Amino acid sequence: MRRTLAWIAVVVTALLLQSTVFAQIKLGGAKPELMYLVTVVLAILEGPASGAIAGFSSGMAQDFLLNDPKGITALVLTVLGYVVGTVRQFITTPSPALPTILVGAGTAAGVLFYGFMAFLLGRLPGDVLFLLRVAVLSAAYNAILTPLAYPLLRRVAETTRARKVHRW
Amino acid sequence: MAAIGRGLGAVIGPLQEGVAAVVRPVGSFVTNVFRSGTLAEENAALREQIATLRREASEVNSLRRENEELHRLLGLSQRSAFQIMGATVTGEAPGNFEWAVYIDRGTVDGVTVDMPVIASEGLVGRVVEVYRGSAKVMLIIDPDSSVSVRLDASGERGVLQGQREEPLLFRLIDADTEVRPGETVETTGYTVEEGLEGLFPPSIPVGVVDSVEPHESGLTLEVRVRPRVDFSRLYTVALVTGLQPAITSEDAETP
Repeated sequence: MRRTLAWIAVVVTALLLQSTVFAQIKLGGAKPELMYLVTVVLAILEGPASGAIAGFSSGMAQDFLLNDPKGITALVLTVLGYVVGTVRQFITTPSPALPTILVGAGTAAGVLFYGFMAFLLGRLPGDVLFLLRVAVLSAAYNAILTPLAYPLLRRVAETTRARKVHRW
Repeated sequence: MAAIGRGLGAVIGPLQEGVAAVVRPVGSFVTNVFRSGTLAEENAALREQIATLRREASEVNSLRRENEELHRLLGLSQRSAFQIMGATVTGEAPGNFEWAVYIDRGTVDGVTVDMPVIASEGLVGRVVEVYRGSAKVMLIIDPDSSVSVRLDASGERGVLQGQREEPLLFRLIDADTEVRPGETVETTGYTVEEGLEGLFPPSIPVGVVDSVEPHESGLTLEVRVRPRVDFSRLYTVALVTGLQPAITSEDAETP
């Protein structure tokens, strides 16, 4: 129960930061995608199932915040959380740069997937070049924020972890 | 006797001055040593005063700028016969795929969806969501935004669509129209009939023609319009709350 509350607090904090501080501070014109960051990091720390759940809840939260069709970001982040969690399992020798790389690649892939979904719904506000630019820039921004965010989130995970062996 | 007194005075005078010249600095030095405690206090109090005055000075500056902007907005509304309500931009929309800002007026102030928002330079956008004390304004540069506009010189009308960070796109149906770069583009406030009105009041400046190119089909012109408002520097804006009532003939004849 404690860890569910802890992760809910994390998602809410990321949402608040995204809509206040980080709405103004842009990297090359792009804002970061903190929901993607939280989902990928949670998937790295907790595995594919938790990653998918985190993706779904933060995706729904973002859909409500941005007034997007409810479920579009939820779908993207659920898939992203599951995939990243699964990929993580196959990496036997994690390097210190792994979270940053996964966040960067995951965000880029996630934003592209989101753009594709938006395009299918006729809601993509630009062309492919614009989508690529947003994907790359927001991925870079997320990657820059990872060395700050990852240790914090790992601390949250470790202090709320139940004392038993985990089976992915 | 008096002469002796005057003679003494003549000698003592300069002597007194000479002694005072020596004694005075010494005396004041000694007094200052005892005053140094209060001097330090005075110094600290004066420094604080300077800091407060500096803060107030910069507040005055930003208040003056806001004042000037509000005056310009008031002038615009008076010339164009509509009522406005001032507002301040509190933040930007958080998504990477939207172009909108939040303002500090909401339902408690009478804000409704689709209310136009202007700055003194020109059109900003329209309200898309209203909350209790704030509202979300979609900017005209958002690709979902279309504004019905009119070219200043020829009067040709069309729809102006947001193009994110690039100049707005105005598709002109009549390819023979004369369009010149630098020409002003304004809102039309197009009214078909009662109840079917354009969203924006008429004659609000929107932008300036940047370039004109024929569409590849050759049938239409693609006019790029640079917006007059600098969207990265929005702070004081105004909502158009209504059109001022027209003067009826009865009012005009009142003696």
